[in-house]
Amino acid sequence: MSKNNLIQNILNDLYQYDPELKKEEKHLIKIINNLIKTRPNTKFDENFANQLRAQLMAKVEELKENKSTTFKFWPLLNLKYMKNLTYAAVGLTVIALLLVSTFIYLNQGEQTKLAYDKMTISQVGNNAFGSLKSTGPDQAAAVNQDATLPSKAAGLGGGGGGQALTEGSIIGMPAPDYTNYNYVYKGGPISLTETEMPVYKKIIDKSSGQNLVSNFTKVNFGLFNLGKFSNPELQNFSLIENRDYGYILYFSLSENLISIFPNWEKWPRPESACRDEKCFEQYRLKISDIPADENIIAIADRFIKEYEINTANYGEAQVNKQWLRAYQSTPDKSMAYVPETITIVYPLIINNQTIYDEGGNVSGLQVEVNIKYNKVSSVYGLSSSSYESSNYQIENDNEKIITLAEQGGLNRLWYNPEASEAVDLELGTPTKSLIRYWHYDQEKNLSSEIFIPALTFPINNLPEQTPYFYQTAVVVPLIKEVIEERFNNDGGTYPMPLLEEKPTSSINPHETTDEITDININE
Amino acid sequence: MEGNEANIIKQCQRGNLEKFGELYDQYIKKIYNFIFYKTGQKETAEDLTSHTFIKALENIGKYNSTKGSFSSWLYRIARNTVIDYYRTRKENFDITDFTNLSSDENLEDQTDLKQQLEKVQKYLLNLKAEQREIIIMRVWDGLSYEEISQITGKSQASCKMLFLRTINKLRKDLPLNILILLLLKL
Repeated sequence: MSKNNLIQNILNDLYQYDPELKKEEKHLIKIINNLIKTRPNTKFDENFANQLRAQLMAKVEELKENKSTTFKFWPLLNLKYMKNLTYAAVGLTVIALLLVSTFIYLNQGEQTKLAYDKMTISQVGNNAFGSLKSTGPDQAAAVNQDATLPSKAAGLGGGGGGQALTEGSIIGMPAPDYTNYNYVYKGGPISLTETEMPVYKKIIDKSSGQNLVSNFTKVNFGLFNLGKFSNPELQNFSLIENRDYGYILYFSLSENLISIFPNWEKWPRPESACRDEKCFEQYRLKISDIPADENIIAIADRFIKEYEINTANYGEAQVNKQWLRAYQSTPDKSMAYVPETITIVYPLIINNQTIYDEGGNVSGLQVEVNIKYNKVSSVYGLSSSSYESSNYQIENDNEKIITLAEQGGLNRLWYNPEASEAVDLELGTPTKSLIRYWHYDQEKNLSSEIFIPALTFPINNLPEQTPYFYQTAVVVPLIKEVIEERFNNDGGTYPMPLLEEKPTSSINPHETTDEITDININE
Repeated sequence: MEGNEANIIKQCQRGNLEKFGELYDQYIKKIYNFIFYKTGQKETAEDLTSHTFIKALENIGKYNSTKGSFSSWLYRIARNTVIDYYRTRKENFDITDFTNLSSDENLEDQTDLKQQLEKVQKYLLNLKAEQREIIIMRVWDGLSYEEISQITGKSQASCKMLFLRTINKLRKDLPLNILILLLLKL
C-alpha cells in the first residue's frame, strides 16, 4: 500500500469517528507526514532473511523427497555375538549409520551451503549487547573480598594414605621463591581521541542445526519414534576417517565451530608400548629435531591448500614459540621439554584488525604440525564469520591507561609482599588491537564471544631465563565497563595455592605452622 | 499480486514447492515486523519468524482460500507461534506487549517526539489487551479489518467497532497531536 493510500485510510478512520476533523485535513496531513518518520526500527536483518530463505529451500527438497531411510537396529541386538560388543563398537556403529545417512543426503540433489566463510559485519545501535560486565549484583560482593593470601602456604599433604588430618599432622611446606614484576612504561605519548569504539560480537547461525537435522530425523533406529520430539535441532556431530593418519572432524553447530583432530587409532604411537624410562627416552624429541619455522609453516600451508580450507578471514601464519621460551629458560636442557607438535596460528582478522588473546598473543585459526611425522595433526578455530558491531564508551584518559598498564593489564601478576626479588619490565608504545573476550551473562547463564578494543603494550625486556614466564605483552582493555569490572573488583591473578584440605580439627590452616609438632603416623 | 499469489499458492499445493520462495519474499518483512512488535527482541523475532515460515511451508497443502486470505492465514500462524512461545516459557506475557520496543534509535535528535511516544505508550498500557492488540494490528501492522477478523477470529464488525471505541477512549485521554502520532506510528 502506498504511503498516500495509507494516510487516507487512517484519515477515514478518524473521520468515521469524528466528521468534524475534516476541517483540519491540511494540518493533519502535514503532521502525518512528519510523524511517519518516527517509524520504529525493527532491526530487520537481510542476512537473516537470506539464511532463512536458504533453509526453507532445503526444507522444500526434503518435503519433495518424502522418503525415509530405515535402519533396523533391533535385529542386530538379537544376534548372540552382540552380547560381546563393547560400548565403543556400538558407538562406531552409530557413527557409521550417521555417515551413511549423511552420504545419502549429500548425493541427493544440491549441497546445503551454510556460508560459514562469508565475513559479514552488521552495524547495530550503541550498547546493543547490553552490559559487558559479567558479574551480577550478588557476585560483586563475593568478588570484592580482601584478596590477601596467607603469608605462608600451608600444605596439608593428605594424598594417598587416607589418614584423617589431626592437629599434629599438619605439615608446613616452604613457600616457593616468588619474583615480583614491576611494569614501567617507557613508550611514547598515547593519544586516544575517540569516546567510543566498536565491540564485535560473533553471531551464531542457528539455521545450520535446523538445515541438517532432517537428514538424521529420517533415520529410524527402531527403538523409539524420533518424530515425537518437537522440532529437534542438530547440535553437533562427528565424522571419522578410518585410514592411516586419518582425522576426526567435529562439528559444533551450536557454536558454529569445526575442529579437526587425529583419529589416534590410525596414527602410530610406538611409545604406548613403553614400560620404562629408557624406552620413552628413545622417542623423545630433541631440539635438533625441530625444523625451521618456514618448513613448519610450509607443512601447514600445504594442508590448508590440500583440504581447501578457507583462510580468507585470517592473516599470515605465525609460529607459536611459547614452548621455546620455556625450553631456553630451563637450566638442564636434558630435562627440558621439546613438544611433538608445533602450533601455527593464522590470526583472525575482523574489519582489518588482527585479533589477540588477553595475553597479547595472536588468536585465530590454529594448525598443529606433528614434528615426528611432518604432518598436520589438528586444526582448531574454523568458525563462522558473522558479527554484529556496536559502539561502546571507551576510556580515553591516557594517564589512567598507562596506570592500568603499569598494574599489569588484564593478566597482571599477583604481588607477593614476601617475594625474594623484584624485576622491572619495560613497556613499549602500545598498539591498538582487538581482544577476544568472553562475556558471561549471569542472568541467562550464557557465554558469548565478543571482541573488544584494547591497547597492547609490548614488554621490551622479557626475562629470558625465568621459567614459566609466558607473558609477552600487557593488554589494557579500553571499554569502560570492562575496565570497571576487571580492575576494580579483582586484586589480581594469583598463583595456584598449594593443596589445601579442610582439616578435621579446628586449626586454621592459614595460621603459622611454627607450633606444629612431629607427625605420629601410628595414631 | 492477489491473482498471482493465488496462482503461486496453487502451484505449491500441486507440489511445486520452490514457488513458496516467492511467497516468502513477499511476506518475510511483514511477518518479522508483526512478530517483533509483539516480542520486542530481534533474536526472538527471528527465531519465531523462522518457525512461522517452516510451519507455513509444511502446511501449505492445508490452506483453504475459501476460509480467508493467505495473508491472514500466515499472520494467524505467526500469532499462534508467538502465543505458543510464551506459553512454553510459562511467563505471564501479554502478546500485545510492545513495552520493550526501542524507538530511541530513530529519535536521538527529536526529543519532543520521543517524549510524545513515551506518553503514547503509557496511554496504550491503560487499554485492555484486546483494545491494545487491535490498535497495533490496525496501525502498526497496517492490517485491514478483514485481515484482523480472520487472524483473531472475531467478526469484521466487532473489529471495527472495537477500533472505533478504542480511538474514542484515546481521544478523551490524549491530546490530538499525540493521537495522530499513535495512529500513524507504523
